[in-house]
Amino acid sequence: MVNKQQRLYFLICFFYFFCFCSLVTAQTPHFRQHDFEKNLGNIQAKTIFQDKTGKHWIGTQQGLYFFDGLKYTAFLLPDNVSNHVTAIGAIAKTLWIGYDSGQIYYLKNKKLTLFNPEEGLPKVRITGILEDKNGVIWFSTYGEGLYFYRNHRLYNFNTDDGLLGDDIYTMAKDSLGRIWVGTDGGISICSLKKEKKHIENLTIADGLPDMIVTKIIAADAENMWIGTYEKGVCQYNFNQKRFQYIGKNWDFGVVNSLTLFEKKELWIGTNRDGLIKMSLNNFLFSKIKGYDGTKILDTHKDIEGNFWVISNRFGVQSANKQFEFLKTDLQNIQAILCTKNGTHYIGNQNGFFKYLPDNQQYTNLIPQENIISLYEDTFGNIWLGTFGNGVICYEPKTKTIKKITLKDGLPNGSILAIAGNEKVIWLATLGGVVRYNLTKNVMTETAFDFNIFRKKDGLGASYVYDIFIDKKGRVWFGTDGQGVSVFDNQRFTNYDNANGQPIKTVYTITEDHSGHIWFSTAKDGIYEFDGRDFKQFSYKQGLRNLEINSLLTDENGNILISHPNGIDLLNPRTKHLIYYGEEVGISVVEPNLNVADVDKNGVIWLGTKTGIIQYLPLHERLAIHPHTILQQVSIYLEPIILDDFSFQKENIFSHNQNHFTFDFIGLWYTDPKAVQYRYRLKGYDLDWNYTKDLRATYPNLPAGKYTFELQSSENQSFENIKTVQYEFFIRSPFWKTSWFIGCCILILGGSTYWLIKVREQRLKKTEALKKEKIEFELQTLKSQVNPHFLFNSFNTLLGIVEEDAKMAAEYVEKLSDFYRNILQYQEQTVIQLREELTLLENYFYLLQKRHGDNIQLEIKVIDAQLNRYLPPLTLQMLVENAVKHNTISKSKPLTIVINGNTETKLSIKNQLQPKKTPPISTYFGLKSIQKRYELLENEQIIIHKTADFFEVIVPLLKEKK
Amino acid sequence: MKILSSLFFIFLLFQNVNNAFLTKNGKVYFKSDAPLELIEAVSTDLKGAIDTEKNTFAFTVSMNSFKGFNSPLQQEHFNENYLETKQFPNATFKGKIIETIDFTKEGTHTIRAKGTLNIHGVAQERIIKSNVTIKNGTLEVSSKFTVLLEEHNITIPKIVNQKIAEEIQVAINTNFQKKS
Repeated sequence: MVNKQQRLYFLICFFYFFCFCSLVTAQTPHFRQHDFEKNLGNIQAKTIFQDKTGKHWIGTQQGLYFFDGLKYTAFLLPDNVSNHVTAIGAIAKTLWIGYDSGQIYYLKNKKLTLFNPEEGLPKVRITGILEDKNGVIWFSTYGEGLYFYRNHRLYNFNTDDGLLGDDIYTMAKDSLGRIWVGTDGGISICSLKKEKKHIENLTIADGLPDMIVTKIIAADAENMWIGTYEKGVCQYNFNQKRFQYIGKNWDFGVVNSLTLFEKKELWIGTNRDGLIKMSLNNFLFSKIKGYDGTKILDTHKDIEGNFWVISNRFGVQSANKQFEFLKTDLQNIQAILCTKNGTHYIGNQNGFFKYLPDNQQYTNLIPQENIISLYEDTFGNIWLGTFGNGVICYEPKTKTIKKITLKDGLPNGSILAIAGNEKVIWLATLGGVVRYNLTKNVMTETAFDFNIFRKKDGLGASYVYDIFIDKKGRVWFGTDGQGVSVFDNQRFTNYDNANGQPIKTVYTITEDHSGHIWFSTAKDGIYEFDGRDFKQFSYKQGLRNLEINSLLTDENGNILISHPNGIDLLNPRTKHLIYYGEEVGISVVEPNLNVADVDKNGVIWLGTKTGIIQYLPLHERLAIHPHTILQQVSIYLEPIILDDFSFQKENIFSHNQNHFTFDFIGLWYTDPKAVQYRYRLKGYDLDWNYTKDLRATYPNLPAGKYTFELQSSENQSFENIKTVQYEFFIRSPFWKTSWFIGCCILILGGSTYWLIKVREQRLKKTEALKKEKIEFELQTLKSQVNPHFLFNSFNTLLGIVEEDAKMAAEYVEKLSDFYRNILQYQEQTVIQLREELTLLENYFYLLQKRHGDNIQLEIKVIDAQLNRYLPPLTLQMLVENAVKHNTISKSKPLTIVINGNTETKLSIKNQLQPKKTPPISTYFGLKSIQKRYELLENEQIIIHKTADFFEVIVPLLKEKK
Repeated sequence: MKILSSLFFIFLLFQNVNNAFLTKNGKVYFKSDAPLELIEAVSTDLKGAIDTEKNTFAFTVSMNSFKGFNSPLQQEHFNENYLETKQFPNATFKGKIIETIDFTKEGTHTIRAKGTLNIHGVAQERIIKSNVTIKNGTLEVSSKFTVLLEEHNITIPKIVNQKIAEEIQVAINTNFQKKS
């Protein structure tokens, strides 16, 4: 019984080991937690998407969130609608969101807008949204198959069309633009051939390991990675129609997500077994620690090389995939070595350790030795440099050891560095450098022929920290206090000063891809040497710390600079630096010098106090600067531009729209807190403004043309950084515009001209009036003093004098009054009717004295008329005319009637009884009156002449002119 | 003739089905709202069948049955020039209902019918959203959709172009009775 149980146990164990034989547990990147702010409630993230502007969008059960690296911004549907986001995709530049309810929305002007095709929307969960190269939009659903939207019309692919299942788990696009969907029955590859639906199916019969396909991603131009329900992952080459099944021993359950890192690693998110990393070099799976029993919902690689994981346990996390960490208890690592066969060794003061990946342990191969340097020679032997005990050669296969000590000719027993190539090995000892020609396997060597070089042999100093053999075969030595020495053509050249400045101690040396030598010094940072000139690279150039522990050149040609603050990655060509520190998980780098090595896969290994950092450079072009986004432009805090993509429009504003606010962000998910901004308003600012705020405000801008320029940087250097621009124009107020000013000038000029013209006319008129008046005065005087009148008057006077002296006196008085009045009124243009009537009465008195009752004057004027005006002597002249032209006798008495029947008119009427011999008439009187009225008021006098009577109607003027 | 026979076939097909609903005088209304002229016409000759078991359906309408044009000339153009009704006498739509609904329960449902719309002899796959009201064992089906002339190869002379919209709006309203 017991035996049987034991056997069963043994069998289980055997199978267990068999199944897990390809599994290694390994180093993990440093995951950072991106928890939703507490006030948002319990948010359950489901999916992650990065759009073309670099923004990360998180789809959650409670809605869509934008994540800027530090905080989340919600984009929610109304409360009564399900906010459960299940798919996010980008169509052109617009973000589209699919929901669990089957609803599809897109983000327009920062608002979620319902996609509302005539055909209606699916009623089941949307599992994918993408756009093919022809602009057709594809939606995969869980329950209704695949939809595509073309020419404003929605169409469907389902089992009736040949789809392998209507429940679609995953959708992907291949390099030909075809749509791959994973269903319960396998993979359907859908496309539109000549606008007709076309389906190609891949099932178990074709070699698919599992019917149920839960994840598909495109690997390259002809390969797809496929994740299945229970059989792990496989790769399918669609040109060769060939499956490559890798997960034969898969025991991690359902594949939920796949993320590919070049041809190096495939990261698999599983439904219950957390994260699995698969190396594409050896197809080994490694389970990522800490994710046991975790459901991975989504994984994603962003443009900076960060790896994102969404899980039910940890929510949203990200890690810089380039750095991975291996924890160890070993203290004070002094040397690290990665061998050609993929093993790695470390050395410290307690011995020489080999890493056993299976149980994540180091085993001490040579205890009690203080190892300070390690090197693998071309025969596969490992050279161990000890402190004081010379060199130990170790053959990994046989585990044999050979010691090389002072007895064998070493000048000193402390070996600080070992370097070499196929032919030669160089040892840096505390007593000079040793060259050893590698003619045969060192393990079989009996007598060593060492060439020893010291200061006296031309080496800068006998004490050497680092040896570096460059691509040309030159050997570089970092000396203690004497700069660098290079051994070339059997002789040494020493460089102990750079541009006159002493170089002193050199700790570590590397070579970039253009053949320049880079070395670090004790106090002066790094020097770049191009064969002729030295260039210093220090704080000023952006280096964070001058205590440099090691310099290494990665596969991409970037120089990895490790120092106590972390790692600075330098692009030697552009001199651009990326800082890596606690954000990626680098805490304290081991203070020992040159504890670094590069393995055959290009991975750089660095020893730190708490373990080992691995740096795996990615070849693809990753973003090395933050993505600068002008999020919003507001006027008086009212957003005017909401859409991230409509900045090209003409932006013209009126003079009172002059309070501008710019909201921006630089997305740098590697280290969001490090982002700094500088901005300037061209046309206003003279210089850049530097800030860490996400807003710039310009109140009260004067009219003009402006360009807002914005840059963001993660390392305080703004060299070679793309500028985001927003051009706008503030119009002058209308009273400052040239057309307005022009109009004003025109109007002003016009009116001045008009005024002058009018004035001129008036002056002319006045002039004419004056002339007329003078003439009139003259004529009146002439007529009044005409001898006939005087003769008559005097005759009359003579008659009266004889009869009545008193009356004569009165007569003379009236006569003189009359003349005085004439003289008085002649000066004026118009006089009141009242005055004219007084004058007329005087005149009539004189007439009556001559003609007696034969002449009668009837005056019927109304009071209102008395205050009106008329040219002086008008009535007198008309009466005079009547007397002049008519017979006045006892038989034919003359009655002159002055009648004011309307207020504005006055009629002077007499019966017509012309004299037998008509007096010579100049018609001066009437003409003169007429003329004066015209000049005064453009009024006309009216003359009625019938057989019986003669009537003149003169207007009465309202005002004094 | 081909379409006619295929229709006949459909009806034969539905003859053998027990859970079928039929309609014989459904209403089809169409409207072409072009800049120069509004054309409307109605047919009450829509025939259709729904198989509630298989979730399939078929509709047909005779193109000659449309009435209510602005003028007899318009109708003549419609029949002879544009839709060529002699050659293509019927418009059909048949396919499957995407949603699964319980036809025995009373209530109103929005369903989507996925099928082949054949007008003017050109078949186009379409999804048509409809409202189905189940009441007293009858189905009232109504839906509104658009037909692009271009999609069905219906060409209109350039001058007439302004009188006929490129997109024709169609509305359907019909009552289905359970097959007895």
